[in-house]
Amino acid sequence: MDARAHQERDQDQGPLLRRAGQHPQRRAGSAVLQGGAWPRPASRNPKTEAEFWSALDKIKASGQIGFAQSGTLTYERATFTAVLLHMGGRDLYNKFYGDKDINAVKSPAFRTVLEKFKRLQQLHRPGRRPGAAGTTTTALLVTDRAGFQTVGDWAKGEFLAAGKTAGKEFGCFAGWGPTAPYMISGDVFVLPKTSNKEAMAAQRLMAKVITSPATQVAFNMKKGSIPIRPDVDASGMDICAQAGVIALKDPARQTPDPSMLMAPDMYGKVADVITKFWNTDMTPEEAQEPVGGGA
Amino acid sequence: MKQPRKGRGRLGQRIGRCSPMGATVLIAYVASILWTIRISLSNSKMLPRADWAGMTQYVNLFIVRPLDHRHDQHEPVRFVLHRGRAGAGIPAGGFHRPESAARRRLPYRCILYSFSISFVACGVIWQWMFNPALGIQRSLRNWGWESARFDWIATQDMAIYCIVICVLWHSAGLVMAILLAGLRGVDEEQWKAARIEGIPRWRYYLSIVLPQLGPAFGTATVLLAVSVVKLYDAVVAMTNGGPGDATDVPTKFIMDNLFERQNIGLASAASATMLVTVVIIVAPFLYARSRAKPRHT
Repeated sequence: MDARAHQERDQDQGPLLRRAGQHPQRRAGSAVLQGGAWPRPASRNPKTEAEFWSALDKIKASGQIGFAQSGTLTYERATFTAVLLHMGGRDLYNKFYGDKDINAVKSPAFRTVLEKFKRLQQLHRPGRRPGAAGTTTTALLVTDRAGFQTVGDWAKGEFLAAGKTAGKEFGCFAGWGPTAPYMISGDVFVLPKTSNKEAMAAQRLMAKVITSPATQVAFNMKKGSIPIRPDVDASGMDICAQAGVIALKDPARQTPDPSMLMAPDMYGKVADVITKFWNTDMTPEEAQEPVGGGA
Repeated sequence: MKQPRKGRGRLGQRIGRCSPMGATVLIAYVASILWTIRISLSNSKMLPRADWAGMTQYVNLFIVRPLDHRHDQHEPVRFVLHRGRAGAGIPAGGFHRPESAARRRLPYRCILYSFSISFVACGVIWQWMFNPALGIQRSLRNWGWESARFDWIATQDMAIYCIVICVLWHSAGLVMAILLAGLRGVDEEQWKAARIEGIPRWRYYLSIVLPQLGPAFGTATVLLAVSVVKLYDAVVAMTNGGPGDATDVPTKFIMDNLFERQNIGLASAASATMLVTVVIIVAPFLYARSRAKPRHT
């Protein structure tokens, strides 16, 4: 009985979930929705990048905040990661975060990613809030003042607390279409090593209970993430979680979270440039060099 | 020459007399400083390592990191920050009326206690006030001034001044307390004598009181200068270094590298550098004080 570690993937899964990222979550609030510019979420999630941009522009034209962005470094990085993965493509994502390929950073494709990231910033500007935490930013969506946010599924709790239902007042999507990469990260329960027989039995019981399909589904319905195992009955879960469960079953869609690919030191240095780029007049060309330096 | 040796002797005596205190100083301060310096000379990343890397971490800190704009950006601002804060105490002198010692107590007490609020609480409150969606801007708009705009904290250029205002407010109380204590040390007989001589009040303060406040000013300046170097909690509570890196401070760099970025070596190098900064600030003050002593005795 060595150190027993049970991976809990219940926390947050990729695009739909934490590490934030991948998952532009979308509201279908009164202003935009009823104006007809932006119909129901379940049926009308943006299926292509072009649809996404046109949706953002429409929301902005209606006077709302197109893209709500939390003012913290973690969320800025999350949005960048989402843009890189879903607009730059998985190859570029892997080359950058996985191989730390300096040529990938110098490529025109990477510059395009930075440009698109900056374009989101423009859509975000009217609603910018200083150092706004993720929750206050999510509140903009909950209260129908903003269109999209990149966030993990933990934010779903904010919607549920406000009495909103996934698929009705808000929706979520992980990239474009049914083959989009799905970024995965998770948290881990580590139980202390012990030689006490009773404690060991208790630990085993706990591990068994928290990983059982029923617990996983019940817990994740509350928390907003997805079960750690594919053999669960997800029919009771909301559409966001169901999309996540389906995505997780396809190994081709699974993409590791950048924090699994990059050392924290380097990851932090990249984030320094990202946040500087987002918040200042730095041009994509100017950002490419230090990002490459960081990698 | 004699002075330092005497000082050391006295320190030794003191440590001998109260050994728990001596042990605390040795272990908590001296040993951890040495440990930090040792780590800063290694390749430590997430965990301390015992290898030797020479000055690599320091080279990284100062030269190799083109990404860290942290160290070069706000020097002028920091200067203003700490000058401004040293100046914050001066109003306390304005409140002081030598002829009404008894009447002055109550109102000041409220001002003095801003220092008793934690930096974090203070930062959060000011952050709310600066937040355009919650604070001053929102209030002005609700009162009818629809175009009112006060979003400093969300802008690159002005965010640091929001921190300055918060920290100024916070430490004003301390500086006032120090200066009031200094003022109370001024013998009121001098005021009577000055009145008899027909000396105007401004002249009395400028030529008689102010010179006697030298030590109080010195203490306040050193305390504030050191607190500027180690400023951390207020920044974390107000902006967390943002927007972008507009309000990044050296301590935050250290904490980021120590924990989130798992680069203990670099964090230690930065800490050691910060210690040097503090010594540079404090040393002249201590030197001046040690020189001044013989005059009093």
